[in-house]
Amino acid sequence: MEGQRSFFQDPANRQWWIDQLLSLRENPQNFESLAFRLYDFQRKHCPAYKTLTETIANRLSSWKEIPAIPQELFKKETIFCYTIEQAAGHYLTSGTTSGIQGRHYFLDPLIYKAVSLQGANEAAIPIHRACLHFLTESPNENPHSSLSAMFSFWAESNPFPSYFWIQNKTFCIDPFIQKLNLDISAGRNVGICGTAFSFVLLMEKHPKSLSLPQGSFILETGGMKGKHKEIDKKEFYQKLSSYFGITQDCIFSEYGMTELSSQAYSKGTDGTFLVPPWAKVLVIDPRTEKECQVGQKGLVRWIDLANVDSVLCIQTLDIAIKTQEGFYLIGRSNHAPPRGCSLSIEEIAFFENTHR
Amino acid sequence: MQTLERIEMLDAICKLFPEIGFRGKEDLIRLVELELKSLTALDDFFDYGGAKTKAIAPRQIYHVLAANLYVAGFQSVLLGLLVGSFNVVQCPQPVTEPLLRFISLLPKKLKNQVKLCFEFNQEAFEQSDCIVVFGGNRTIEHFKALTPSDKRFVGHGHKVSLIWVGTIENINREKITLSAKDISLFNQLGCLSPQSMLIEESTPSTIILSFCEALAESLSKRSSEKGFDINIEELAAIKQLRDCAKALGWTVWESSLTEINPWTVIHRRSNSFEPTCGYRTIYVDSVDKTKLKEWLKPIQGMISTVGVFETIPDDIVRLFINAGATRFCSVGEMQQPSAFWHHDGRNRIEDLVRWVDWEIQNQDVKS
Repeated sequence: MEGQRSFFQDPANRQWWIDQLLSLRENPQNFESLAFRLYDFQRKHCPAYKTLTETIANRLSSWKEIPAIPQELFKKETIFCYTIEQAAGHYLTSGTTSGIQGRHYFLDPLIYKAVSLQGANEAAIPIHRACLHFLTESPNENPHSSLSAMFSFWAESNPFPSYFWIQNKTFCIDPFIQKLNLDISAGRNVGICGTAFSFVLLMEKHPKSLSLPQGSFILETGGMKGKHKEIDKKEFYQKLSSYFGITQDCIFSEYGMTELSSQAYSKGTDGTFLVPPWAKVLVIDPRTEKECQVGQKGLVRWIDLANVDSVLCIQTLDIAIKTQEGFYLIGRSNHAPPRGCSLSIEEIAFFENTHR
Repeated sequence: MQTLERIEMLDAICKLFPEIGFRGKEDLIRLVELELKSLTALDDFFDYGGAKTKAIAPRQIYHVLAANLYVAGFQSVLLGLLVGSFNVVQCPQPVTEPLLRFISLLPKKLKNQVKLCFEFNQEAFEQSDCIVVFGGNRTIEHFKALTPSDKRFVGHGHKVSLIWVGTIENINREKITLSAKDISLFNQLGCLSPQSMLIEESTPSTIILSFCEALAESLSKRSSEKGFDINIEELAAIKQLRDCAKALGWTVWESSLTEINPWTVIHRRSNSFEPTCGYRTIYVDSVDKTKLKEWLKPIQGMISTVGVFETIPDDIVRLFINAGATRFCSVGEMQQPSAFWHHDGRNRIEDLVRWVDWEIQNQDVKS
């Protein structure tokens, strides 16, 4: 039944799947069987995954052996278990590295919504106890941003007011500061969520520091992605802490990607990233394809059971150190600097953007 | 100092660093004669088209070197010294050591004509009348934008090289071995390193598969030679390329990534060029000859060398030339261009100088 393409098209089955995922906190032993079920489904119905898995031995003895597709493949091929016409929508990757955007199609956004909310709860981010200020576009302005979508799910479930402060591609800093100051004067807790780049821009354009009420939090995500001179994370957190007048343990970092449905979170500058119970991250040695030992550096591989409509297991180029409980993210290094004078895909894209 | 005197002094350095591509003073003399028409063109006016002319070298050249391309740095400084300019070299950390060694072995008189800097030197940049830049296209655009129009600007951006195989009737193992050499040298990171081998689509697939297998075997034989340290990001890029190829249904021949010099051969049918990640990762592309122009479109103007496996038809040569190719050579020679090659299709020392013409008949001119 679950192997049939129609299984995940049935809303009742999708809700059943959500329930299964959310019960994994209590029943973590079920992770593997759910992972194998989803793997069996996707390798039958996602053509690219089918092609890839045909070259790999079928019998798996552990969820850790589930074959991963490279993240890059979302830019080259449709990674979807249905026809594009059946998709309710898609999210687009940023394309900052190569100029080519990948697409993550979905049948409906309900699973993403459920795990986005529960994922924040699992990470103890107080999204329901603060006025939320998002330094991003709203989904109305950018319907293909998975980050905007996640923030809108948070906003919808939040009993307090929420705001999106990037409008018409412009960060509306002055109105944001005015509203924030009103919240501060009223002693309301605030949560400010945005990309690291947006925080750097805010501190540059409005250097006067603020003093957020106790119980407020900051959530940064996404790194600089080539938009700004990258700064050291420790230095960045010190700046955030003194600028907003909060301790560093009130600063959360989100690590996610458009191609996934789940997120990992860390707290404070030295925080290890932790994933929710329905996702796992393996730190892989690219030489051997085996999982690294604790303390070793390798590549991040996600197994995300909320990625039901595409592929659950994704190999990234992000580099991390495996820790006892999770992983420490070193860099989102999806573009190692070229060491020679041979042309790269990024340069072709750059040339096309600047000359054609 | 006269040109010949400088050439005499550079003779020893050419012999100490054969990788520069000049065997000695004979090659330097020949280069000046070929490009400037007269060995004394930089010293005196000489007869030229019914008048007289003289080449004027830049007073000061500002060289911006690319990381890890020390040979290009040697060549650039040597050519600057050959024309008699003072040379300021902005030298990234990875190439500092070889460049310092190179400079230390120059004769004293020439050593005094070179100054190294390790970051952008605004003052030296402004004082220079010629800017030579090696690097990625972003770097080239950046320095070009900084250079006022009255200064000479010479940019050498990143390029791509290819091998034309054409139709295969028999597996030529000798040529495959030579191709493997071109692919392997400099870990396939240079602009002369081939990234793709083009086979005509009409070639039977069994022959293509045998060709790829033979190529894989040749690369395998070279895999124990001294290589670079490949870091985790680079390994990840190789792995990603392989996994994408497998998921796209392309056939892949590969070594273990635990080898010193891992190699990968990927056969695909593609509509357009796509670069590999280097590190002995080669695409064998089946292309429809009638659609080659389209296939080359993404790299229009960015092609350096076309290695020729056996022969290449005239219409294909024209197609590559129209797409911007600047050099054709046999496989096995791709990484060793002639001492007199036109780098990026341009004369190497003529590009640096300006010409002064003397058209007054009744008055002679002394330099």
